[in-house]
Amino acid sequence: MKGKEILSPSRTSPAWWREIKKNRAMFLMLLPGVLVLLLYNYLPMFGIIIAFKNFMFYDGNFFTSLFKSEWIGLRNFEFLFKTPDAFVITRNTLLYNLVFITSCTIVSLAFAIMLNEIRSRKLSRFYQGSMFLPYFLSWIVASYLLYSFISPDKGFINMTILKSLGKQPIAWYSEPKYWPYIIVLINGWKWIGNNCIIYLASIIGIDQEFYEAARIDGASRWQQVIHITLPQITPVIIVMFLIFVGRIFNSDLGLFYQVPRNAGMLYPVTQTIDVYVFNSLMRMGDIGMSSAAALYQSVVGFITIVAANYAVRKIDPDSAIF
Amino acid sequence: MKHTKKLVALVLLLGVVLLGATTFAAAPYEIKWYFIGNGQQPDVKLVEEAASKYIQKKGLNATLKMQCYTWGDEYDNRMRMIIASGEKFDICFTSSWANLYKVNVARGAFLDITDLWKKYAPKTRAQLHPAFITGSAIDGRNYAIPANKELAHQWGFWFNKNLVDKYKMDVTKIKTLADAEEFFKIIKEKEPGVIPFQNLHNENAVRVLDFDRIADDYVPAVLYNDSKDMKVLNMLETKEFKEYIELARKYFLAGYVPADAATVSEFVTDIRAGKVFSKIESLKPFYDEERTASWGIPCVTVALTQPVVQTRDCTGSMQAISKTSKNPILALKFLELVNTDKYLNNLINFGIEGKHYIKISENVIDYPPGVTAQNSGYKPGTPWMFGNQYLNYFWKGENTGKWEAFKKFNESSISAKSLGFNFDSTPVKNEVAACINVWQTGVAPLICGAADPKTLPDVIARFKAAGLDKVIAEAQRQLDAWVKKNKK
Amino acid sequence: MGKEQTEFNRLSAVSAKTNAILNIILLGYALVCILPLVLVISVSLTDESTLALYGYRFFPKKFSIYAYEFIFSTGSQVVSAYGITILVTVLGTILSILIIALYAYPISRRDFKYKNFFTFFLIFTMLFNGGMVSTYLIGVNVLKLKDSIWGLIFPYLMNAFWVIILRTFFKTNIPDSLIEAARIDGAGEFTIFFRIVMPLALPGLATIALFATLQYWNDWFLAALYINDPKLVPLPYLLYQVQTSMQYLLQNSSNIGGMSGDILSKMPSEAARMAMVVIGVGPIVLTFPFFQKYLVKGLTVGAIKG
Repeated sequence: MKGKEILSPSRTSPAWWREIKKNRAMFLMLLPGVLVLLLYNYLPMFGIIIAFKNFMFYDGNFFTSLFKSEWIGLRNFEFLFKTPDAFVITRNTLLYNLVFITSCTIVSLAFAIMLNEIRSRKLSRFYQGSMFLPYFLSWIVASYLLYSFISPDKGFINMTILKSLGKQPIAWYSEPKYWPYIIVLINGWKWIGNNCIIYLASIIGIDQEFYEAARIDGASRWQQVIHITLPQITPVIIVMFLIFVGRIFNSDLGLFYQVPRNAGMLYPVTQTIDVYVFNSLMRMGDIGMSSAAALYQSVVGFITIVAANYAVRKIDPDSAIF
Repeated sequence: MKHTKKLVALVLLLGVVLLGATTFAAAPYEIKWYFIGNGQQPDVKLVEEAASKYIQKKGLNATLKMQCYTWGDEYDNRMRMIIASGEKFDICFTSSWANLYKVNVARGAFLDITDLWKKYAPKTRAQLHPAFITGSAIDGRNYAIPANKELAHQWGFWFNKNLVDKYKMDVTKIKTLADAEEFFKIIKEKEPGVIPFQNLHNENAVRVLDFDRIADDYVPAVLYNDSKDMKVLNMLETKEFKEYIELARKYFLAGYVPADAATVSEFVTDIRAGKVFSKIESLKPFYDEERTASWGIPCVTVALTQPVVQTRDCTGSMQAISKTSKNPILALKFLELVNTDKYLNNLINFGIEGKHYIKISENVIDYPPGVTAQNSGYKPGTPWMFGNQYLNYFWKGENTGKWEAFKKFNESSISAKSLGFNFDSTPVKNEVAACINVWQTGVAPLICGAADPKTLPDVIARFKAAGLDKVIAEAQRQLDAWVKKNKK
Repeated sequence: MGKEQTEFNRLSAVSAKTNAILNIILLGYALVCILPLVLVISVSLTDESTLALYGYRFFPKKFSIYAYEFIFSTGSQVVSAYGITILVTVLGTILSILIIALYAYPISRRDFKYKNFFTFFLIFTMLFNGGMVSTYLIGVNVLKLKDSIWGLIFPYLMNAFWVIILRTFFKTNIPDSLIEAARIDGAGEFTIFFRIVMPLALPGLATIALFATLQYWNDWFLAALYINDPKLVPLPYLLYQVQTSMQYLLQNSSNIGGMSGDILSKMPSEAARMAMVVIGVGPIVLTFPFFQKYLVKGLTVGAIKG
């Protein structure tokens, strides 16, 4: 920096300051967000250390206790792998997430396009609103509602539908084979409306000129959808996909624990990493182990999203997240 | 002149300092008390004020601040955060089922009061049955004060009296679980909408086997209550358990037990609707009184086991002093008052006389006119939680012989051999975590009879794969060491 | 603008047959979504004893509003809870939209040298978390969020997912040429942002606003962490407290002794649970049409094009 000074004595400010001044409007805009992130997200990250320690209170102070607690390396992570169910929970988490992302995306997209294509705006708004309703209901409520349908002795399906067809009642909460479908359907029911709104908002933002030009060229509505709508919202689709991929090892406890009512016999198909961690640690209260589990999920998610982003960048640099 | 000025200034300064010091010294210490219950009562501030005034009169320079969190997740989550973050408070409720006592002691959250309470809460300590003291000790040291209430537990049947009377059943001849079969049959045939035996996985009849689960409620490492050789066993491999699941299966297949017993946890709704005939419950003196009041169904009880005291009975309701407390001695003195002073005890339990209750005799109270259970401004409803229950007033209608009956009940009980032993799961915490998991998935269906007993070997195998043998070996090791230490 | 669109649509809309098919499909799905809510309302208005005997029904076997009476009998707290929730939602939504949009814009500009850095800075927080305990510590000791209205607002001001969505909207729907033109005209970045970008991004902003509103309205988690003062308890948390303690009392008999059972005996548990959902969710469902108004194109497009 001193060197530059010799050449142009009027330039007394360092390079980084000049950069800030050049982009000052942008930096100013970013400032509030950066502050929030720093204070609420980055500052507490020292807590990750808990995953590697056997946390104990030595006096009344959290920090000194954390400092004094014994470092035990990866021992807190062992319970995630030593269980005989390690393979099952990992497989369940991954498979369900993959199915979720594909099924939700396809159906939400289809609905979003349909909502944009039907003639009546009023009806479109009505459908939109209705689809969004399941999002308001919590998983606990959803589990009660499901129960009212598939309760073995009081449920609607067993009592009314199956009876009238003359079939035997099914012990829904004891038969694992139905549940992969039930879970995928219920997950869709909850999220499709939500995703749909995002895609729809994005479709609405497409420049109408494209459609006009296509229409003049004689393209049918269907062709317009394929050649204009879809490509225009591809960035949004990719972004949603990438973000989801970052959470590939996470699962929603509400869906996998509360909806199946933590039924033991369904575990082979409903137990995910989060359910396992929750069950084990609820009674043990070991914050070292729960931190370790969270860290494990984060690291895997991180690796996956970086890899996926890299792949996307090779194809279309504009669509990559970073 | 200058001298005088200096002198005046000095006197003034001294005066200010003295004033400051006295106000500082005189500032009462705020005792912060966290506990579980039905939520912060609307009139809690009135009670806090009255209590603060009273304890100051009694010589404690303190004020009281009470914070109640509700059952289940709330209290546990809140206390976990509060304790983990090192927040300064004085007293908190702890037990074997909420704000887990063992876990917190292992983490060093509670103060060791073994010597302190001998000095500052001697009467409280003296009035406790010795089992309470040994039972709640971990490695010989005490970290919380148990509430003085019923000590032992006794398993037995709860029967819906309406149905018993209707079919003129002589339930007194029931001595074991198998004896009840004939009655279940009657109900199944004659009352189609009623559940003969509500044997759900979380309130299960397997408790009648009364094993001493010394490791964890969800790990099958157990001891016989009257164990002669102090050998830790795998509950699933015992004869009693095998016989039990055969019986449970028989009852399940016969339709006496609800089809979703392995998954449903809520049982009270059906009971209150009159849809349940029987269930296994933890009995105590005047249990039927309390239950009839809360469930609205008159009941008959039949005991199936003897009153027994296990370690977990002693840790059912305790108050611990936090390590972050700035004045633990004051907190202990306060608890001493709560447990020995009739006025303070009942103030905290029932509120202010005249406003929240009125006395209709020396020890019996009722609601003031216009006040009900719903609209009362102060009704914690948890006398067993605050402390010495023997000091409590009786609500109108409660049997005043209750405390004598409790005492008799406690004295007639036998103590499990492992009383006072507390297992430290840290060396095998991974295996314990894995075992808890297997219990949730494998044992629940077995004990309800929803799973075929033939699958028992599979479940045993899964426990072994989870490391149960290691846990049992560790438990045995710790138990042997404890026995040796206590022999002298 | 509504008229414009329909005019245009009529010129190259889908055939009547396709329209009918699409409508049927959409209607079917819409019903699947509405019916559960109807069921919830119905159960909340059913007499408790019939629920245990007959289960959930679309038409209450026996009508009763006791569940609502029971919940409102806690009196003034419900009213203050509503007040807090409304305040938090309005304040939180407005602030978070502002902060999020301000963050999303720079990282959407192709010519901003540091966009990748700041995007990564953002995404990292979505993936890695310091854990609840350390977050709580910072929240209470550094940010003073305990028993403060900010405790209910601050943590959700930046949501990485929404920022990215908005960024993508900015990128695809705001043509660079527009911004270039404005720059040439001498407009400053902030002017461009507020006068040009925001109006064009209205659908995106409305979407994020909707999500933010829902997040703030439905949240009980922050209250569970930071709020003790009953006067600051928001509605969902109040309902959560009632619900979890009810659930606990219904699942555990051995641990609870004595007269706390008194409260149990009067509790209309099933109906009350559903009533709580209606109370909590009702108002927000009714505001949804309000947001839909904005999920349409910006009004100024035509003008600029012209």
